[in-house]
Parts: sequence; structure tokens; C-alpha cells
Amino acid sequence: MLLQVDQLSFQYDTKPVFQDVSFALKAGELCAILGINGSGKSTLFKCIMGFIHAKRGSISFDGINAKRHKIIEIAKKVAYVPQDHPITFPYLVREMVLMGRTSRIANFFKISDEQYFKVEEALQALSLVDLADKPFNQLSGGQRQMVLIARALAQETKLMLLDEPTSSLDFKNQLLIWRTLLQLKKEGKSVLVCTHDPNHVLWFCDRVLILDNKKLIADGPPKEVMTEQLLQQVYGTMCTLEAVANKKMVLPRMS
Amino acid sequence: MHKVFVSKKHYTRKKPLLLILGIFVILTALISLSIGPYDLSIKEVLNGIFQTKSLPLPATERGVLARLIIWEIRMPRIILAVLVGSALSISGNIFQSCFRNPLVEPYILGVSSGAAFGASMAIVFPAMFFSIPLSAFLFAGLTVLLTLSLGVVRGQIQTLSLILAGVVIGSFFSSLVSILKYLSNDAALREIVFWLLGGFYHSGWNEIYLLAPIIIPVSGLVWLLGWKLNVISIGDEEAKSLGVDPKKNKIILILCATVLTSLSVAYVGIIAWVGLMVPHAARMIIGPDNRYVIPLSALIGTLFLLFCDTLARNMATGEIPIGILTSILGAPYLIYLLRTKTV
Repeated sequence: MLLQVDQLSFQYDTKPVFQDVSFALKAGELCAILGINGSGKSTLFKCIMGFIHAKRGSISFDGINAKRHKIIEIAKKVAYVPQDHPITFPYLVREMVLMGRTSRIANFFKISDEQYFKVEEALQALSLVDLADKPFNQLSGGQRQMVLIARALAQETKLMLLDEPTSSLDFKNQLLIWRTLLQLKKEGKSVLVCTHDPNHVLWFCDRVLILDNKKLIADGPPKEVMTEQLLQQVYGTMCTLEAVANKKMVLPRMS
Repeated sequence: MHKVFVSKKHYTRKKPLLLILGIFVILTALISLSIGPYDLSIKEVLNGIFQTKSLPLPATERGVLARLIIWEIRMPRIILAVLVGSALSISGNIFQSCFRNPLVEPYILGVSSGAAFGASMAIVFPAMFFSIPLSAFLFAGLTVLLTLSLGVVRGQIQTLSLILAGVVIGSFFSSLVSILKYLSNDAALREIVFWLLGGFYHSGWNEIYLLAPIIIPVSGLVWLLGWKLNVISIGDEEAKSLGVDPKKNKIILILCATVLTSLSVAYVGIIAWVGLMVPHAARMIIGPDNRYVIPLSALIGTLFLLFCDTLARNMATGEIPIGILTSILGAPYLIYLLRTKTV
């Protein structure tokens, strides 16, 4: 198993965020985490990445407890794509992507051709070569998100965690990101993506974890577990599940 | 692979710029060596530098005098300007990158106020303290420790708490300095004021023997951590996800910055603006990659202090405290930055 989360519970002071969350991720899975605002999706990500520490439960990568990994070893196993954000200093896109190689570079003053080649490959994979010499901050939100994904690609990990990668993007860029994630899955990588759009989960993901009321209430293929009853439990009665052109869709209930 | 080599140029074309600026620093130092109350030609300066003691002494009396002026008066001063200019600029860059704020300066954690208090104590109560620089250095370190202890919450470095703690501790020590000024006699008051304005009045080889063995290796260490500083300047969580321990590296870097700043302040007083504006200027020239910003900051800081010190020595019959000049030149520059850059 690439990632194993066991009985994980987290609380801020005395307020629990989620309790007893357990799941495992194997190679080649595109798995989404769904839940309303404040359901603990981002907190779960932060726990997995080791940014914050859960009071109870354990996280393992490749069967080894995360606590026994050094920070640099985790960076070789998991790549993290944060939500789009501006940065203080005007790093070029090329430099941002090169940062993805940090855990693989021994001497930062003598970076080998291979390292630059990996950066170039990641830029090409996401069609970012034309933007390579632009400052990261001058890009649009969508382009920045693509650069952060390219950085994660350059990190060459088997597992990738993305925190709401499509939240600030136009529809075209949303599709582009999902297409990239599907491609990654084809290449045998495991992708865990946190999202707010249940339709994206239905269309693109082969597994979904649903967090509600501090618990993991569903885990399985979206088409099977995302029933109308479950969606109403999570989102209330304002939505309905219908089939449109042979595809399941979550639609607003108009009356 | 062709494309790779094309792209590699983007990463490496910055080195010649550093070399050119390095040559520029040497030329400025030579000019600075030649200018003073006793004017020397560049040829005399070169003769004075390269004729070592094992060779026969220069025949003329002027030659002997030139050697004396160069080696005993101007050279230590120039080397001190090089060390302090580099130290302040590098530490400014560390604080700006660690706190992700280009308007932060090396005195942000209260180093200058602590050092000012230490120096004032040594001036007002000379019997109680060994020397002014030692007392300034100790109090500067103490201030930073106090600030850090307030700014680290639950084992995490909280940038906002740290900066606020720096402001509070800084103003507390400034008040103590004011009390000392109020209590001191005229001579001590004058000495405190001059110390606060900063200057290279007391430059000698002894200061250099003390500062160089610390400032040079610490600056080298910071340079080696340049790439990690890049990653940290993006954000703590991202740094961690990319394999850089933000807490450990920040502590090392902030300690280095504190040592660099406290030592400089202890020996030359409070020289404002250098640590704030030099890293900014370096980034405007060479981009934000700290592997290049750190050496370039050191060079620009050196150049700026050499320039200001040469002016300070020669503008008036007496010497103008260098802190006045750096502020006069620095303030318009900051206004320019505020008008032209989004910070």
C-alpha cells in the first residue's frame, strides 16, 4: 500500500475535527475526498503530509510509519499540491518547478543535466514551456495551479496529494487538470484529490472518500456509493442525483 | 537533450554578473584607499599594497607615509566596511526570506536596540563593563533570545508573533537607552549619540581579526543554505512537502543572521537601511534565487558602505557618522521601491 491511514483522529484543542478515519491507497488509484466546508478535508491532508500531528492513529507510506521517515524521505514518496497562492518573491516558473527536485539534489551549486531534464519534462507534460521564464506571480490562477502540479510531477513520487486543485479555475483549465490527473493514474501513480465538486468525482475518479460530521461515511467507487440519500445527508435536500446522457450528475433541486 | 542545454543557460547566466561586480568592488576599494585628507595616486596605492615588508622599503619619505596610511589607517577601515556591508546585507536577506516580507530589516528582532542599550551601559558605567562592543554584542544576543522566546509558540515559529515581539522588546530597550541618555553627563551623552549614528571610527586590525573569522564562515554557511532559503521563502508547509525542514533551517538561518547583525552593530554602531534595501536591490538585478542573491547582496552591501564611508571621511573636515549618510541615501530609495513595486 502506498498510503495507509489507520484510525486517525484530530482535534484542535478540545474541538474534534475528524475521528477514526481509516483508508488505504494502492498504486494507480484516482481517489477523491468529498465533504462540505469545515468537514476536515484539508486538515486530513495536513495530517497526512505531517504539517500537523494527529493525537491518535497512524499514517504509513509503503508500509512504514510516517513518524519513522525523515522529511526528505517523505518528499521522495509524496508530492503535495497546495491551493493556488501568490508568493512573495518573483521566482520564475522554471525555478518553481526545479524546487520539486529539492529532495533529489545533493549539491545545489552543481545541479546535473538530469535534474534540468526532469524539470523540462514536467514543463512539457503540462504545456508550460512557453511560460517557463515568466515570474510565477505574473501568471493567472489557473496557470499557477498548473505550475504547482508540474512541480509535483518533477518531484517524481508515486503518490500525489492535491488540495482543491480546480477551485479557482475556469472550466477549460478544470478539464485540463482532470485530464492530467487521469494521465497520472494511467502511468501507475496514485492521486488523492480534495474537491468540492461531486460531479467531477462522478466523472473522473474511481474512488471517493466522503467526510461528514467528523466521520468517514463512505469509501468506494463514486457511482456506487454516491447515492441520492447519501448526497442529501451531506449537502442537504437542495440537490438531486439524476442520469443525463448515461452519466450520473448531481443537479440542484429547483423546487 | 538539446532543449535541456538551452534551458540550462537560464540558470547559469548569472555568474558573470557576480564577477563583474566583484571587480567593481576591488576598483572602488582602490579608489577609496587613495582618497582622504592625504591624497594618494592609484599608483602609490598599488605600490603601497604590493610592496611587502620583506622587500626594501620605498625610498622616498612619501612612499613610507603612503604605506603607513594604507596599511594602518585606510585598509582596516575598508576591510571592516566589506565585512559589515556583507554581514548586514546577508542577514537582511535572511530575515526577508524567512519572514516572506521584503520590507523586513536585520534589526527586526530588536538587535539594534539591545546593542544600543549594551553600548550605552558600557559608556555610562565604564567600570561595570569590559568593553563597549562586548557589552553591545551581549545585549544584542540577549534581546534576540527574548524575542525568540516570545515569538515561538508551541514549538512553532509564528512570524507575526515574532515580529510583534521584536517591536515590543526593541521599544522597551530603546526606552532604557533614553533613560541612560537622561542620566548621563555631557561627554557620555555625546558618545552615546555618536555610537547610535554608527561609523567606522574605531577600525583597526584587532577588530578585523575578531570579526573576519566569524563573519566569513557564517556568511559561507548561509550561502550554502541558499537553495533551502528559496524553498522556505515559498511557505513552511510547501518547504516541508519538498523535503526541507522549515523549523530547523529557519532556526539555523535566524541564528546566523543574529550573529552577523549583532557583531556588526557591536563594532560599528547602528547603520540603518543597508540590510533593508541591499537585498531588494540584489533581487531586482539578479532575480530571487538566493544562491545568487546572497553573494550579490554581499557585494552590493560592500559597495554601498565603501561609497558611503568614503563620503563620510571626506565630505567635511570632521567625519560624518555613516548612519546619517546611509539613511539619507536609503530613504529616497525606499520611497522609490514603494512607488514602483508591489510589496
